[in-house]
Amino acid sequence: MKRSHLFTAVPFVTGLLLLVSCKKDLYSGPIGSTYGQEFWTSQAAVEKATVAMYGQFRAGLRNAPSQIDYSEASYFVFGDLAAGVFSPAGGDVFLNYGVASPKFNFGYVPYWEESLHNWSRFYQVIAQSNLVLQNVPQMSKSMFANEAARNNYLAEALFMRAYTYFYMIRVWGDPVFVTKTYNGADYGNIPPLARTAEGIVLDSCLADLRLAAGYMNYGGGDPSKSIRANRGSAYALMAHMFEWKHQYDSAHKYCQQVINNGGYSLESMDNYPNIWKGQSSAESIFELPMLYSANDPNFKGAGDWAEAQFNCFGTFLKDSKTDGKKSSCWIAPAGGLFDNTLFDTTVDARYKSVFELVDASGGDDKGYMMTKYANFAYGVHDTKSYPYVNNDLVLLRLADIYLLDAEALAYLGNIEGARSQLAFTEDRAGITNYQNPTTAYDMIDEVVMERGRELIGEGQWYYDLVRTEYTQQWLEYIGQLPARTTPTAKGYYWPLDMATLFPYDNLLTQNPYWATQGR
Amino acid sequence: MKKLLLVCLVAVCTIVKTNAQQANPIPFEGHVTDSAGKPLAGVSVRESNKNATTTDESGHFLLRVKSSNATVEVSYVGYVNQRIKYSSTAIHVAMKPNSRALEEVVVVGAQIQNKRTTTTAQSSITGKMIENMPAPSVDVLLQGRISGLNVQVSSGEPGVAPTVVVRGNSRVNTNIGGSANVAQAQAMSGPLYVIDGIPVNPEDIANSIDATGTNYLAGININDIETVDVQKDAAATAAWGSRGANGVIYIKTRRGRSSTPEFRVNAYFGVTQKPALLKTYTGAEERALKMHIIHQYATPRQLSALPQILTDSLNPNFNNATNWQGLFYKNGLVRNVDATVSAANDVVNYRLSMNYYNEDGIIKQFGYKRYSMRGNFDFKISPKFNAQLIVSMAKDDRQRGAKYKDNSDDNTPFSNTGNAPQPASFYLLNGFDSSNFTGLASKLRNKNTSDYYTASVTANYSILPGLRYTFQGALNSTSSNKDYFRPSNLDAVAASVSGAAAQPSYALSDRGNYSTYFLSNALNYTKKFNTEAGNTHNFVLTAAQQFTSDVSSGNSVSGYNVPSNDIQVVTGIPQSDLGGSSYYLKDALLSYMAQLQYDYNSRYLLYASYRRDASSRFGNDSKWGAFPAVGAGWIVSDEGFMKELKRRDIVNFLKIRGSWGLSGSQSSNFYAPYNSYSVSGTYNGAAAIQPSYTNGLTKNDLTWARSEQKNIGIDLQLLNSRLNINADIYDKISKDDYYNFVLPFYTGFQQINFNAHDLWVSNRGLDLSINTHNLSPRSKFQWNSQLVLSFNKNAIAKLPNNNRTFVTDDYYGVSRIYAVGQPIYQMFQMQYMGVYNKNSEIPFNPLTGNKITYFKGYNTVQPGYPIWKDANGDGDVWSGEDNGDQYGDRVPTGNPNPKFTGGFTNDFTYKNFSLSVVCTFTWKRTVINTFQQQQFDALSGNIANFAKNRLPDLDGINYWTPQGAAKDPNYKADFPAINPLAGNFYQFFPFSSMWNVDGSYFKVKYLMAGYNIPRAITSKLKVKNIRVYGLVDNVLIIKNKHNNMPDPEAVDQLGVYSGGMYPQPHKFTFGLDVQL
Repeated sequence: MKRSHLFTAVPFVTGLLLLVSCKKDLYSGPIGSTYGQEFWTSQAAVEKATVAMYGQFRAGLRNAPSQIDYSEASYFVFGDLAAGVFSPAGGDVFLNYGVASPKFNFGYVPYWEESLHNWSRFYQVIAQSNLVLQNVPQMSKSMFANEAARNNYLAEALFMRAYTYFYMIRVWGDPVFVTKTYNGADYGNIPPLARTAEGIVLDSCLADLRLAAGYMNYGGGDPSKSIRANRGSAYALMAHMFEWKHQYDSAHKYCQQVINNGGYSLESMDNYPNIWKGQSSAESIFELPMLYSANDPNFKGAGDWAEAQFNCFGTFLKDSKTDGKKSSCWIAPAGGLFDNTLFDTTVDARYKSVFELVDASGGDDKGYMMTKYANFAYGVHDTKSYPYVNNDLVLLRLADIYLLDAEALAYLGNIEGARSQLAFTEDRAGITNYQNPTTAYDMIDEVVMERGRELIGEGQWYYDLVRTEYTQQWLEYIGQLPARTTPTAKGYYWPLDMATLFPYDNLLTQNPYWATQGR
Repeated sequence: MKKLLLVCLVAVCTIVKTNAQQANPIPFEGHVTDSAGKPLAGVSVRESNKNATTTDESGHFLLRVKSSNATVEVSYVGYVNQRIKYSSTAIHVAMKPNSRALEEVVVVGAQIQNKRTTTTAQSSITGKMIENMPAPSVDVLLQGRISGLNVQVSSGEPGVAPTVVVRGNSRVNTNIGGSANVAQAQAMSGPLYVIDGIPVNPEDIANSIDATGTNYLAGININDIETVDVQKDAAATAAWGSRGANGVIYIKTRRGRSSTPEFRVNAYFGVTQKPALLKTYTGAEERALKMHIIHQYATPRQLSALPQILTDSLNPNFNNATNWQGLFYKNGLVRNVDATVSAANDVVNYRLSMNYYNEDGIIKQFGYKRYSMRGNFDFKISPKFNAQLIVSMAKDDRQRGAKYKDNSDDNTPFSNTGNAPQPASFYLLNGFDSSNFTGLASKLRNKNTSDYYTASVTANYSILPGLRYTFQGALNSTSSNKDYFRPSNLDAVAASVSGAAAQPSYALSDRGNYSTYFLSNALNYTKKFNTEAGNTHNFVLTAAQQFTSDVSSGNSVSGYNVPSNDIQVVTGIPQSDLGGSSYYLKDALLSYMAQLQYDYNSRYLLYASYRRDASSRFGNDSKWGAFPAVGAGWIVSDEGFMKELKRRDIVNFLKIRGSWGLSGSQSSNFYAPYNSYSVSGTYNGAAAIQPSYTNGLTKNDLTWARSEQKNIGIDLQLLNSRLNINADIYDKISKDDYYNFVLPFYTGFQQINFNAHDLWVSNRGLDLSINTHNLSPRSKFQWNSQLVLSFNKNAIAKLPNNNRTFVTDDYYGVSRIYAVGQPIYQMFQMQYMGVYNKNSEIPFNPLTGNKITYFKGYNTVQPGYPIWKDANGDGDVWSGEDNGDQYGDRVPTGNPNPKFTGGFTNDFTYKNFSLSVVCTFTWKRTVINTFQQQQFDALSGNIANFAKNRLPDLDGINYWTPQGAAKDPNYKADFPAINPLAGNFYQFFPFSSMWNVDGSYFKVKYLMAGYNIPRAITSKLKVKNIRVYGLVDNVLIIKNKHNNMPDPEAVDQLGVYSGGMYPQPHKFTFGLDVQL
């Protein structure tokens, strides 16, 4: 009997002991992944989160539909294809619907809606920036090397948030403006948000950038510093934003900051392709690294996060440039804007440096193939598998700022000043068009065209046309209907995919022109 | 292993035989039945402690007694003991049930309840009913046997789990579009299994260790099962706390029962038969038919440019008559051997069993093998103290063809979607094709094994009279191992096939282990108060504390480009092609519960339970959940006013009961409250870490999902217990279930899995089971019937974001609408209404006055087009994803949830013969034949595809042709034109209801006949009993006449038939059961 009591006592006591230990088990977190409260506890973590911000932005720009054969980065569709210099690849019928016939019908791009009509991916960058901006100030001082290091992270997040909003504004117009994280929200009942006027958003971003610039140092022309935000890139972005807002005094002021204090210098014409070679040129202000790394775990999968890809830059290349991997590409057709309006192909050194005239093939017309990004290589050389293009995507560079300044000065009526800024790039290219204009209108036109020549294939020119539309009407010239281009119609912006976005934000509105274009 | 078993068998036989000596001279023979005339096996017949026997399967006993004055006691649990005097002729003993007996019990939470006085709604089957059925796992056999339980066997592949849903699905899965496997594995809310008191969640196990995808329950030998209780209402499920919300299935394994040591060996052997091939056209017939179709539609110019494959009948590459289906199927074998040793006495009670089961698949390279052992031991240490030990081990080995990731049948070679559509018969079938298609490719290796270990100890100690302490400790460990190798096709055979895409070799090694630790301490107090007036108050109070922890861990390495096809493991792979990962997950669940049963004179019943659980899977602030339940019952038949009815055996028993309660279910994610951050990649070589954009927001409030259930039921026994009726109606509302919220784009996050407080799912229904003994107990011929019916009405009662309706496409492109009032997974399609036979039938667009159009104005409707209903009346019919009207002309069209399911079972016995006929049925569910759909789609709009793909069965398909319409003004086709030469506007896509069909079926599932060898022969052989039996599985299918799917049950959980669904085979087995 006594023994039986003992029998009972053993398990009973064991049970009680386990009860104590299991309390701990009820509160133990995962060891297979990190999570919020564990993560934000070191500078190294902030560094990784900051790097993620840039990487997401890069993925957002390179985004392309996955379900069709030709994957062309939306960055170039928005910035270059929509400007009409290039013609879409012979094989890409779907993109042809949108930009070729009828001309520039942004409303109908089958299979491309996710890339061209949906801005969700950029809100991921915004969320990541907001996450950094929310968590870094709450971390204790001791977790950072010094206060400057902490501030620099805040500045980078402010810069990336501003850049992202600016990018969305140039593509889709008024954004939905969010500056907080949604951690802990009532997930089933997140209140809808309406769009905020782009001017208000830009003002807020400009204030952020002023603060951010103060937290950061200049890169001093060191190409390796161009892949992250610094004071030079912040001022360059501010110059762009002011130019977009037609505040030319301020635009000029910040261009001058970049030109005088940034430490940048123009690349020589001999080494012109150096600009896109990847962290190699003192001309580069801000670029996204896309060079091959043998240690990149995403390279073979060629997903969003792969550093080097074939598809992004491969858009511009074909045939021998790609070892036959691609037989058609975006060509600037002969007898089009390229040679009729922009380039004097007999003189312009840039044409000789980064273009080739190719015959019609692979469904493409005869025309000019751009080779700014043409460092084609194979991941596995022996089997010729895993092709990629080893170049960087340059978002801001000194030539861009010179021309931006020229435009600002021209709008301000300073033709002479504009002429001298324009001289940097036109002289480098060996052309002298800038000596002719005498009126502000002609000068601005010349700047627009020079931007078209200098920045061709860099995802910029369409925005130049939109920005200067109110005086120069380039959009009509390239083929947009006049009804679209008014400031009230905003038809130069891309439409939003309301079917996908509206159900989750009932205050969202379509861009006015596209709201009237029922398909 | 099989040989080993036989050796053991022979060895034990010899031992037992030597002991089986009879000393007494006078044989006394008899036949024991229950009051309904059904033979009772295992009834103890004893003259003295030393001289006793038990009845055999047919109720016979033979006891040699000392003298003709002898009296024997006939006793059986649950029946009144009888003393019978010796008689020289065989006697018949009809046992009367002991209505007061506490034998038939059900375990609810930590409490053992008497079935008579319980207030819970539960249904049971006994092991006897499913014994020797050739199936790898028990869940398949519950189909049609238990009311309120819907079992659908979507795949006949041995070792794959069927869908088991108790009282309607409450899971609203919105991620059904990604892969066919998600729909299959996670579309439905599965029950909690409790095996000998240990809760096991097969879904958790399947989600964690998916290496082999083998059904967890396949690890349990069916012939080891004593009872399966399905607990359905809240009074039963609330006490199980976590995951009780979706019902609880309690499986109890067999114990030793016979007072004399018993050895039993049981073996069956049979064949699985390959199914009939679907009709297809080959060779000259196919060519003629295709040309005939083309001639109906083609212009002369089109006729001059036909593909070579059709015109060049002399080309040996295009001159074949290959029926591709024949590649895949084969006949197979099924065999099973059980050996059992058992005995029960006052001190120890044991049962040891061994089992070998092996079923070949009817598709090549498929099959399932299991070896298992189980030992149940009861020790009576003192009158106050007893203990129980259960150990079991099983190993199974599943062959899965070329499948290596999903359980979905979509990737069987036979499917249309997993591979390209099946080619025309004209192609030459070479060795490479056939080995590639059937997964036989010479060096393919696909080894899937699982190991199951369970050990549990239970100790009961009576501290005081009426007060009992119970300790339970258990370990349940499952591991799954997968080794896979797929050779590269860059070998000589592949090279001979022009255009074969280069496919690198791939090797995978995947290991996973899932262990559950379970501890329970319980105190049980029973007290009876007798009042002076002779009434009694009975109390049973149980308090328990339980702790459960699951640990799941594993690792996987895999890589492409193994250096040689002779190396079939992961080695020598280039670094960049090598992948490896490991994981470790652990959770904990702490529970406290109290249960109270009270009855007054065993007539007025009350029950209440309260359980609190804390789970590590929830946020810090919301770990605890409380699950109360109450029940009440009234045994009306015990009332005075029923006395007369009872005496006259009109109403033998009538109980009315009701219950209400809350039960819970926890998140399937072990670390659900943690917003996980992951390494996304590199930026200029630096690693980037970001939150998961699909589950990366904090969830400190994440908590239990709950289901609230009301139940009213009656249990009724009429006419001398020859007619038994159990009926329950229930109303179950599931709330706060885990739901993938799609977040607004501006949050930057795509979705989050969280309790949807505004997501309510309602399931209402009726469970009915009727058991009858159709003939008089005195009849030699006995016929017993069971009819089971489960009605369920499933509907979404509330949705998040102010009941916002939304639509998701499933993997096969069928839209599903999620709207209040609609059942879960309701199909949402354009309404198909036949064919426009002539111009005059085509309506006009009210706005333009032109003929209506399809596809956003692109296609003006013409004769031969399908009639799609213009639901929004805008003159154009389309599913309308991007024209501003997001739902276009789609309307709710079909419900994949059956209206009712059930079964009809008849058992016949005559003397030594027995026959069972088990039927199951499912009524009124909409299923979609995407197999046929894809066949037609693959032919339309493109003459090259038409030429190179296989023709579907065109029998009875009266498709529209211009010639037919021209000839006859009253021409009526009932199928749209299948014109390969005109434009394709996706007319055969499943976005219209064209392929929807009634999926009702009635199946004669099993026919089982048995014969007990007469005692005269067995006694000569010195064995107790020999039974021979034969069984036919999947005997007959009756289905809707429009349903041309070979097996209407072979659809996935969303009602889609993809053609890849592995058919359930016909099985024929023959068996022998010998008891020594």
